[in-house]
Amino acid sequence: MSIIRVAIVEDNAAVRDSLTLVLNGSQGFKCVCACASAKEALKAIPVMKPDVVLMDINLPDRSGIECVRVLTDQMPKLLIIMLTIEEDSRRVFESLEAGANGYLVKNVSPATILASIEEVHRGGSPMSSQIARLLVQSFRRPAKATGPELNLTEREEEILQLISQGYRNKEAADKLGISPQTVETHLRNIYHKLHVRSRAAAVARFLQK
Amino acid sequence: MLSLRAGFVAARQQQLRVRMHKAWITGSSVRQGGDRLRWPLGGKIRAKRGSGLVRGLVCVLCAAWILATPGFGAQRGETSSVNDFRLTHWTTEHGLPQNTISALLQTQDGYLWIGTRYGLARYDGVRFADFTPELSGMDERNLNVLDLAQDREGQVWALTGAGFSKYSWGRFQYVTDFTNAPPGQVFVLHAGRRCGLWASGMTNLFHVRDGVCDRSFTLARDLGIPDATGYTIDDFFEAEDGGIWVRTLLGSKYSWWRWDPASGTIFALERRVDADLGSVGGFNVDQRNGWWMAGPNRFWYWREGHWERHDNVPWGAFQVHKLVIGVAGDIWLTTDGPVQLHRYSDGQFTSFGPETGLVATYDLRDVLADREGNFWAGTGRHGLYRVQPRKLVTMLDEPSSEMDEVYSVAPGHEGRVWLATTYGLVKYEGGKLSVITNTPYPDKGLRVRPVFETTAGEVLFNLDFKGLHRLVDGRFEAYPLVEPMPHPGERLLINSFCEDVRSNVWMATPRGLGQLQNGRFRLWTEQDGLKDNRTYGLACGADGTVWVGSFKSGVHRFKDGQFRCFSTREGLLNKEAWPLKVEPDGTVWIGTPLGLNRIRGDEVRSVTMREGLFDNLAYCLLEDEHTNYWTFCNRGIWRVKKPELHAAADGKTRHVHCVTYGEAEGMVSAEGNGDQQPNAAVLPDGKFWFPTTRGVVILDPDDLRENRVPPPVAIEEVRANDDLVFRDGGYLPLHAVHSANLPLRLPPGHARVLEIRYTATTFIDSEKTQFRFRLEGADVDWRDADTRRVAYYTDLRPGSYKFVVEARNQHGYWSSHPAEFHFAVAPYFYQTWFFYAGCAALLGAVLWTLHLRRLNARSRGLQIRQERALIAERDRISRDLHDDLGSSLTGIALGLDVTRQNLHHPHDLESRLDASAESLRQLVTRLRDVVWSLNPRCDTLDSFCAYLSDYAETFLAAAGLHCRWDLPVEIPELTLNAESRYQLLLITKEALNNVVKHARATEVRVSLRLDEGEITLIVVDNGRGFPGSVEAVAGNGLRNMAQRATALRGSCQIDNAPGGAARVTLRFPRPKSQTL
Repeated sequence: MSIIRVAIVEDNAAVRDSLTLVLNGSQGFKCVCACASAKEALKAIPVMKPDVVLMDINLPDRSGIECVRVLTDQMPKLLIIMLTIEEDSRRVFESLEAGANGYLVKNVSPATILASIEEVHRGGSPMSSQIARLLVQSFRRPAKATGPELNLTEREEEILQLISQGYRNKEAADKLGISPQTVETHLRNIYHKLHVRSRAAAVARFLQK
Repeated sequence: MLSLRAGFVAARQQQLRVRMHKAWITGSSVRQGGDRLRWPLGGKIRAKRGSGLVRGLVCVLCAAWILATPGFGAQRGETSSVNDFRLTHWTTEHGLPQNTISALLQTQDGYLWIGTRYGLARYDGVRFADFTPELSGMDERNLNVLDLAQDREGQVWALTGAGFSKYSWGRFQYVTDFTNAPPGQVFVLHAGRRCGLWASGMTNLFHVRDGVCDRSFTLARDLGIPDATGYTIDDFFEAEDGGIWVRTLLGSKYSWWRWDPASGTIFALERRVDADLGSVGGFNVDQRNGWWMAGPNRFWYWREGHWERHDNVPWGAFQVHKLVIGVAGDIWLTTDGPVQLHRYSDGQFTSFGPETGLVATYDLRDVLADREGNFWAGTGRHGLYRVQPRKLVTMLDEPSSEMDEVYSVAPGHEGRVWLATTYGLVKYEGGKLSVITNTPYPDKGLRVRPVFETTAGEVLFNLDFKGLHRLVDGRFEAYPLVEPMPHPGERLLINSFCEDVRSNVWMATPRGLGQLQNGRFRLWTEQDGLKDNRTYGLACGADGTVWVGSFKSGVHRFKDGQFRCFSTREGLLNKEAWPLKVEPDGTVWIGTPLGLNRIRGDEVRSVTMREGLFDNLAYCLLEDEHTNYWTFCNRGIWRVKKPELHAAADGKTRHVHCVTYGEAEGMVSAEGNGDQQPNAAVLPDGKFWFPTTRGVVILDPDDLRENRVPPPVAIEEVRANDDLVFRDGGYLPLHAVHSANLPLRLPPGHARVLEIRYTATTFIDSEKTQFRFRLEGADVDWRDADTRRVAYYTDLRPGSYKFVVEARNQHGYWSSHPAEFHFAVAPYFYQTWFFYAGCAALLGAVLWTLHLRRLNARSRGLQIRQERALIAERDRISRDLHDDLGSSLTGIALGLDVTRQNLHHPHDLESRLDASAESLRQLVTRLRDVVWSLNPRCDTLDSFCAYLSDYAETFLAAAGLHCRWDLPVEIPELTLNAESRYQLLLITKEALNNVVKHARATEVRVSLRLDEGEITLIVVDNGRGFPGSVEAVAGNGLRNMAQRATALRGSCQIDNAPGGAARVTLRFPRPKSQTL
C-alpha cells in the first residue's frame, strides 16, 4: 500500500499542526507540505505534487475556492478536499465547481479525516444529500455555452436524486441494480461535468467581457 | 289714411281754416268745458267743441312731416292743424335751471343741451341733468350761457359771459381767450363743419382751431361796402358748401351775406338773387341748396334762379327771427307778433298761437329741430317747449258729447261702416257720417250697442232697453222673433253678434245663445247644456264651431248641438271670459280680465302681463298682414307679434314685446270701449277702427309713423360704494388707480355696491324706452331692465368686467351701438392667486411636517421594538452561551483537571481524554448552532434546509438511523429570520430526538412542502408510533414543540402516521419572497 502524500493548506496553526501530526502519525499518510496561505500553497504544491490537498475554504489572502481553481488548472489530476468549519453548502458547492473532490467539516475525529482522504484517493467521490440536491439544481438550470455532453444523463440524475434523498452510494446502487463502483464512476463523471461546466461558464464570462 | 283723408278733405277744408284758431291747448292747470284732462305734465292739444248743431268731423291727423318735398307746388290735399301736434312744456319745476333759455343744442349722442341765463342742463327725454354747479367754476359769469356748440371731436362748448367752457369726459375746462382772436365779446358760437369752431362778436367772425384763431372776417374790412358803420353781426351759419352766411343788422333791417372763407369773397344775398328782399330775418339753405327766405309779408324760396313766392303769410308784417329746417324738410319759423311760431310743410302753414299754450312774449330765443322730428323752442321767460307730431287718427263726432262714446264698429257692404254710439246708430259712408234718426222712439238719443251687418246685408243692432232691432229702409224696426220670449213683453237684449260660415247669425244674450237662420230664431239655454245663460262674447270658427263667453262660467265650445265648457277648472284665468279669435286651425284665444288664454284642442294655456303683455285686458284680436295681433284695452291700443304670443303660451319665451299706442300718439282718450262684440274692426282697406270713449281711432298698420331712429344709449355715471368713479366717458380719479390705456381699476373692496346709471336719448315716448344690460364677467345672458335706467351690482368678485347696455325704443328699434363700460376690480391680497398658492404651500408644508413626525414616531416605535427584540436576543444568546457553553466548558475543564490528577492511572487516561475531546467537539457543534442562528446571511429557508440536513445526517448517523429527505429541488429564496430559524431548528431537533429516544425506528423521513401561503415540515419515522394517547406519551417535549410553533404563527400536530409510525407535522405561514 503506497503512502498517500497529503498537502495541508490551513491558516490556523493549531489545526494545521494537529492535522500534520495526525497524518504523519498515521500509517499510509504523509504530510508533504503544510501551507498557511494560498500564496504559499500555489508556490509549494506544484513543486511537491501531493496526492491529496486538504484546503481550508477560508484563507486569509485568497479564498480557498480561488486557490482550488488555480491549482486544478495547473494540475488537473490533483485531488482536493475542502476543509470547512461550518456547513455552508453553497461555498462547498462553489469549491466543488472549482474542482474540489470532496469536503470535510473540521469538527470531526481524526479517523474520519483519514478515512475521507483515503476514499478520495481511492477514486471515490463523497457526496452529501445536500450537495446532491444542489447538483441536480445546478444541472437543471440551463448553463450558457454548454454542449449536450455537459448535461446529466438519465442515470446520473437518478443517482443524484437518490443521494439527495439520503441514500448512501451502496443503497443507491442496490436500488438501481448496479454496482457501487458504477455509482462512484457516475459521481466522478458528474463532478467532472460540473467542473467543465463551471469552466465553460467562466470562459463564456471571459469571452463576453 | 290717405283715402279717408281724401274723402274728408272737401267737406272739412272750410271748417279747418276756421277751427285752426279755435283750438286751444289744455295745460296742466287748465280745465275747459267738460274735457277730461289727464296730463299733470305738459299739455295736449284738444279739439274745441263748437256750439253749432252741424255735425261734422274733426280729423286729428298725423302731420305730414314725412312728406319731404319742399316748395309751394306740393299741394297734395294734405292738411295740417295744431291738433296734429302735441305740445309739452317744461319749466324750472321740471328740472330746468332757469326759465330763460338762451341756447339749445342736440349733440351727436342725442342729448339736448339747454343753456340758460343762469345755468346749463342736459336732457335725455326723461331727466334734466343739471350741470350748473360744475359750469360755474370760479366765475359766476360762467353761468350766463350765451350759446352752445359741439365740435367734431365731440366736445361740448359753452359760450358764457366769462369765456368758453369745454365739456368732455365728464369734466369742464375753461378757455378764457383764443390766440390771435379779434378783441371783443363773442355772442354766437357754431361748430365748424370740418373742424374747430366759428365764433362771432359784434363786428367780427373768426374760426378757431386748437385754441388758435386761423381765419377771421371783419365787417369794416371785408364787407365790401363803403360805409360799414352801424352794421353789426347778428347771426351766422356755415352752409354745406363751406360758405358762411352772416346776418347783419342795421337799424332794424336784417341782411344776409355769404362769405367764402377759402377765397375771402363776399356777396350780399339780395345781389345774388337779384330781388328786393327787404328785411329778411329768416334764411336757410336746404339740402338741395335751395334758399328759404322769410321776412315781413314774405316767404320765398329760391333755387337755381327759380322763385316760389308766398306773400300771404300767417305772421303778416311781423319780422321773422329764425328759420329752421326739420329732418322731414318741414320749415319752422319764429316771428314777432301775437303768434310767434309757424310751421310750413306741403304748402300748408300751421301756426302755434297763444291758444296752444305758447305764451307770446316776443321771446322765442333759440329753436331746434331734432333728429326725431320734434321741434324745440326755448323762451325768454317761460321755459322750454316741445312740439311733437302725432301719429294716429282719431275721428270724433264734434258737437255732441254723447256721441263721444263709440261701442261697436261693424263693417258693412259697399264700404259702409256702422258705428254703435251713445247717440244712436251712425253710418259712415263715402267719407261722411250720418246718424240714423228715423226711429220709432220719442227719445232720440238711444244707445246702440252693438251693431252688426250680416252677409245678407241685414243690419242688426241692439237698442238699449229695447232689444234686438234691425234697419229696414233706413228705419228702426224691432226684430220679429218667431220664438216668444220666456216672459211676455220681454225684449231680447243682445251682447254680441257673430256670423258663422253657414250664414247662421249667433247672438250672445242674457237669456242664452241665440241662433238666427233664415229668419228663424232659436235660443239655446241651460237646458241645452249651457252652463250659464248670461252669455257674452262670441267667436265663430271656420268649421262651424261657435265659441260663447259668459260672465260666470268661462267659455263654451258649441258644435253640433253640444256645449263643452272651459272654466277655471280647465285652466282659464277667470270665470268671466270671452272668446276673441278663432285661428284657422281651431285654436282659440280667450280674453279674461286677468289675461289671455289659449285653447288648442283641450289644452288651455295662458299669457299675462307677467309675460310682458301691455295689459291683461284685451277686447279683440285683429290680425294685420305682418302677423301682428292688434288689440285694445282701457289704457290704449297695443300690438304683439302673433308667433311671440304663441311662444309665450307654449312657455318657449318668457317675454313678449308689445308696441303700444296711447294718448302720446294722438288718441284723445286711450280708454277703449270693448264690452260688446263686434267692437273693433278691420276694414277691407286694411285699416283698423277702434271704438274708444272719445271717438273712433283709425289706424293704418302700413302707415304707422314708427320712430325708427335708434335710441343712442349712454352710460352716464358709475358709482362704486357711492363714490362717483365714471361720468360721461371720463374716469374720475377719486381713489381709482388707472392709466389712460387701461380700464378703470377699482381698489379692493370698492365694488361692494356698484351703481351704473345709463340712459337712452329719445324725445318720443322716452318713458317707454326699454333696456337690457349684461355684465360680462358676471352675467351669463342679457338682463331685461325694462324701463329702469340704473343697474346695481353688489359684491363683485375681483376680475375684469365689461358692462354692456342696449336700448330699444317703443317701436322695437334697438340702439345701433351698445354702450360699454370696462372696469376691473382689484383683489385683496387674500384674493390673489399667489395668496392662494402660498396658503396651499403652507398647508402642504404643515401636512408634510405632520406626516414626517408621524413617520418619525412610528419609526421610533419600530426602533424601540427592534431594540427590545435585540435585547431579548442578546439575553437569549448570553443565556445560551452561559448555560450551554459555559457549563459545558466548566465541565470539560473539571474533567481535564481530574485527568491530570489521575495521570498515574493510564487506563483511565485515554477514556477521559476521549471524553473531553468529544465534549469539546459537541461544544463546537453547539457553537455552530448558535453562530448559524445569529448569522444574518443564513436568514433563508435554503440555508435552514442545508443546515438541517447536515445536522440530521450527523445526528441520526450517530444514532444509527438512516435519514431520508424529501426536499424540493428548487428551494425559493424565502427570508426566514433568525428567531424563526432557531425555533424551526429546535422543533426539528426535538422531533429527531424523540425519534432517536422513543421510536425504535431505523429510518427517519424529513419532508418539506412549499405551498401557496404555507410551508409544511413533516418528520415521520418507521418506528412503533405512539402507543395510546399521543398526549400521555408526548409530555413536555411535545408541548414545547407546540409552543414554539405558536411563536412561528404556525401549528404543530403530532399523531400516528397511517403506517403506525409517529409523525410530527409543522405548518407555518410562508414568509415573503426575498426581493433581492
